Amino acid sequence: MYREEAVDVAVIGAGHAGCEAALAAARMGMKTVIFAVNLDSIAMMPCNPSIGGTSKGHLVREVDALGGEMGKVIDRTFLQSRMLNTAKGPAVHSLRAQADKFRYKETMKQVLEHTPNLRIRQAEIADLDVQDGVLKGVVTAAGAYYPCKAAILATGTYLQAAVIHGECRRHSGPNGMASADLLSAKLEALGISLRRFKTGTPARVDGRTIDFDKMEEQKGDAELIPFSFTNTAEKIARPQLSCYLTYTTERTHEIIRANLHRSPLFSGDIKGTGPRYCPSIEDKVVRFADKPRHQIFLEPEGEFTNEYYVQGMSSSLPEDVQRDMLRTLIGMEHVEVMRTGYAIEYDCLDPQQLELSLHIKGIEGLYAAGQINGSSGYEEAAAQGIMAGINAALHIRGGEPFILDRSEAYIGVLIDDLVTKGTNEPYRMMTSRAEYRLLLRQDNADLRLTEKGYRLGLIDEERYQTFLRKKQAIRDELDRWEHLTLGGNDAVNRILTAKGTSPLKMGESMADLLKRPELDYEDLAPVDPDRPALDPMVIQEVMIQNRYRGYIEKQIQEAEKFRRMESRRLPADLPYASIRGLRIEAAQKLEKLKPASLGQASRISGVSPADIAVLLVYLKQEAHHEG
Amino acid sequence: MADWQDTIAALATPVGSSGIGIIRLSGEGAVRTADRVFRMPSGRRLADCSTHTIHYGWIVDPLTDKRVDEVLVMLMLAPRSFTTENTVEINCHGGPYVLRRVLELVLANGARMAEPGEFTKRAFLNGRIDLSQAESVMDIIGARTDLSLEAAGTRLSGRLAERINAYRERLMDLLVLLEVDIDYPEYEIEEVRMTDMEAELSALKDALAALYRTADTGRMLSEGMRTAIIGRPNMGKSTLLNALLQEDRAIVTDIPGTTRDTLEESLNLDGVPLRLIDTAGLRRTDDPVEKLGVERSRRALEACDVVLLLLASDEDPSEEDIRELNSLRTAGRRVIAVRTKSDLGRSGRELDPEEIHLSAASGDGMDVLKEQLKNLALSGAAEASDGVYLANLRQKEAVREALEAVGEALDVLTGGLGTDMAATALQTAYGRLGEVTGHSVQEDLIDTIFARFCLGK
Repeated sequence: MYREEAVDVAVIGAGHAGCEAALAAARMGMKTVIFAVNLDSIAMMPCNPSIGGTSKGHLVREVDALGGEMGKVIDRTFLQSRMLNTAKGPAVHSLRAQADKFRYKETMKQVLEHTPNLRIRQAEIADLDVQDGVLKGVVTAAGAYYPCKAAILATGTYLQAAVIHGECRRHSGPNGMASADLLSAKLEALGISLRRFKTGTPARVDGRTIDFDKMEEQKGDAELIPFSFTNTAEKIARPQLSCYLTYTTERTHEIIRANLHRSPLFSGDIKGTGPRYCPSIEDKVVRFADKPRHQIFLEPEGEFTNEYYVQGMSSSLPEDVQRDMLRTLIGMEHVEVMRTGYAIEYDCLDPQQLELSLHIKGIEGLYAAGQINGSSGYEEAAAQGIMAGINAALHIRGGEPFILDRSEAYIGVLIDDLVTKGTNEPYRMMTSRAEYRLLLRQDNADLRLTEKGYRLGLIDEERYQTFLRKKQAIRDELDRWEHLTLGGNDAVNRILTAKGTSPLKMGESMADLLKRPELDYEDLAPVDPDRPALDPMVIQEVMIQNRYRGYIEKQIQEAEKFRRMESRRLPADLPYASIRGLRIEAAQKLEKLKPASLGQASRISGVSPADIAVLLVYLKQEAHHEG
Repeated sequence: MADWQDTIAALATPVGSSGIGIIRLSGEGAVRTADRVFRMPSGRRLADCSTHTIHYGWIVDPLTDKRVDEVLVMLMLAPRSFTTENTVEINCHGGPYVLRRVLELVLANGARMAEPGEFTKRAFLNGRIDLSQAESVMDIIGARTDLSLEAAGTRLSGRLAERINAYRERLMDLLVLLEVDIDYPEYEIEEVRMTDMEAELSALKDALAALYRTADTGRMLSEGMRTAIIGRPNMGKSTLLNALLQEDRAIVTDIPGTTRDTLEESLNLDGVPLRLIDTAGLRRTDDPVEKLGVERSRRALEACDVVLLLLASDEDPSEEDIRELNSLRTAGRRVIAVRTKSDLGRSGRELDPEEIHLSAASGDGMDVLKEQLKNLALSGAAEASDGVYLANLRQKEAVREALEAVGEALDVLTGGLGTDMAATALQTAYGRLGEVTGHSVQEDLIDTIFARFCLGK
């Protein structure tokens, strides 16, 4: 073993969590090193070639608002972009982009390479040096010792990974990368409990062998909207590629049913827990036997490749069965497979061992982010990555941890769900998991978080000033709408009648008029000649805040109630077992999770409102003693 | 989960016999809430009054401005109160039904129903109770919670739980369609037809509204159907009352009248409890004392479930009788026209096509009246569908909030404001109904989505 130069933060793994973690730490002035088993796997997308979608798009926006990188990189490398759910209300508008996955990872690697304070090193981490519960350094498989003050586990699906299709089971990481086999045992020796999760990916096929004419073309939006708040539609303009929609046939289902005995899922070969939201095609055919066909999407993997991703066909059936069933899809009769679909099993940790800062309880300086915490998805990983990077840096600086709560961000919902409730399957973000989703919109992620990113040192002065101007412009415009009365004259009423809404008898404020769902801001342009020239994003924000004001205010009130519970801190050393009146089950759960606040305690399954009342009383009693 | 800084309210005196009861409010918004429902003759507001003062006035329903009870209100501002929070105590005089109405008004205007022992808990948390009492407080909270959980379990073990669960399932069916459409926009799920969704929501709203109304049936069956006997003097009110009481040997208790001029008696009519109220003669008068009595009778009438309007069989209905009947029916009262003294002969003109002729003296026709009273009480229950009814205010509140949320979802959908708002409102409704039985919204939702739909890469 030899000694390398000491660093502040060591990031183990360079996927979407590792990259954001390393960038955040380095940008906060920490001397940082990031390790990957293979540097070609930096920011790799081993599954779908897309970023965003419902709730995941929200996460990307939040990461960007805090000063993260994912949004900027996808804005530079997307092949197609769409805003989903535009007719379903502002809370669930969701941006989704097809990524050129080759350029995406190159671009992210380039960003890492140009970041001061950040070293990049190809190496497998084999051991952690922990002394008296304090992390001192990390050791590579080749015997290099890096002294450090904090380390972030971002090992994704690499730990003791196994790739399976049919009877073929190989020891391998995702996409043919080597697995990382040495760290699991060391983590367990440190008292961290591990478990086995499973996920999967479909085949990639040769675009030259697909008959796209038989499929439904899906084009990108004509009007582009960037992920990053630092970009504009003009800055990201480019020609877009299409995706294609096709269907399975009865024949597809027959082939699958005839070969179920060769599926490792059904033979019991795969023991890891798979996600319900991402079932394999064999799973779908078995569970939804009466569905005559399933939707399949073909998505380009990059601009300079013929490879297509077959979304909806995730499978761990044997190679020959995969080929045969793919050839029963409409338009894919002669398709050539380039990469076989597979299931992958990997070690991850029980996230209930974490604090909300993503610090692993009991080991000072050790953090975890991404799939190792039981989540799935690039965006979920990036969101945890930036939070772990920030908190590792704050820990070294000696500051309070940075935590977002459930009413502030999807990031807060994600981490609180993982840490407080735990998960029995790879966790995917969904809008329905967020209680306050009218507040947590993707359009206002910057209004919610950029101030915080600036305070942390992740948002530079120039961007911050731009942000403050936008905020002011929104306030001014809202105010202008309130005070501008549009009379019930012919000009106004002609517009209203044309838009199918009732004409005015008396004057009404523009704010009230624009609450009508039939009306758009642009519609009133002729009768509002003095309107200022505004950024479309500002107008959109004002529209939403104005139109949904009543509903938003109601949620703000609920969120305030919620925050009062969150603000009641619980000391880490509460002797739960000896608190009189606590039920045994509750005491055990509380002891295990050591919740940070009364609010968090109340969300633990098995802790009742009565237990919370008892805790309140106990805390008060203690305060009296101390006072 | 209960917050400890919002405003709570509860009945501070035992429910039952006494005509007087106190409703206590505690919390930052206690004064604000009280001011919404309390009117002083001087027009002053409690917010402008000093602490530890007593005020005379009326509790009114702010929606209709109708008077509900004549009360004395005690104001105790923080920190000089039992809980150390702003506290308002409303001393009501109108008897159990009115007490309940006042509590409902307070709950509809910013207060939340207090948990068992919550006033004591707050008093402790705010440092009002001595430290040595801490442990006994914990025991009290523990015991009371267990008891109330147990009680809630019993209450819900039967058909009410089934009913609520059925509504929750229907809500979840709708909710999951909206949510899956939001979270998986690229998939063609069974198409959500908005007109179907609106029709289904509207049906659910009606069903919840019907369930909400059963709260009154529940009260009728547990506290008795309040039956007022009115009519001009000498129409046989007391005779009828005595006849009903005499025939029924199962008189439960004599309850002193809730007002000076009404007499209330309880009797059991083949299992249906009845509370008979004999009012002072209803008539217009200039005598100030009598005027007061009449005014009180009017109020007693408003709290009634059924009114027996008496008119001797041999008298022609006067204009006043007809006006009385119409105005009671317009106000939503169920009225039975009773033609008394049928043994004295009949006048040619009827007061009401459904009127009952009887003679309390001979007993003729008494059966018909009793049968009709029973039917009324039970048909209330039948409307409440199979004897399912809401047994307490907490349940009633939960259903009211769910009903409101479903209404909001419906408004949002018909107004074209977007499915996300509608889904959020339905989550609220589902959550509120869950308070009656106890499950979490988010987890149920996600489980249902994956159980029902075929999604993912």
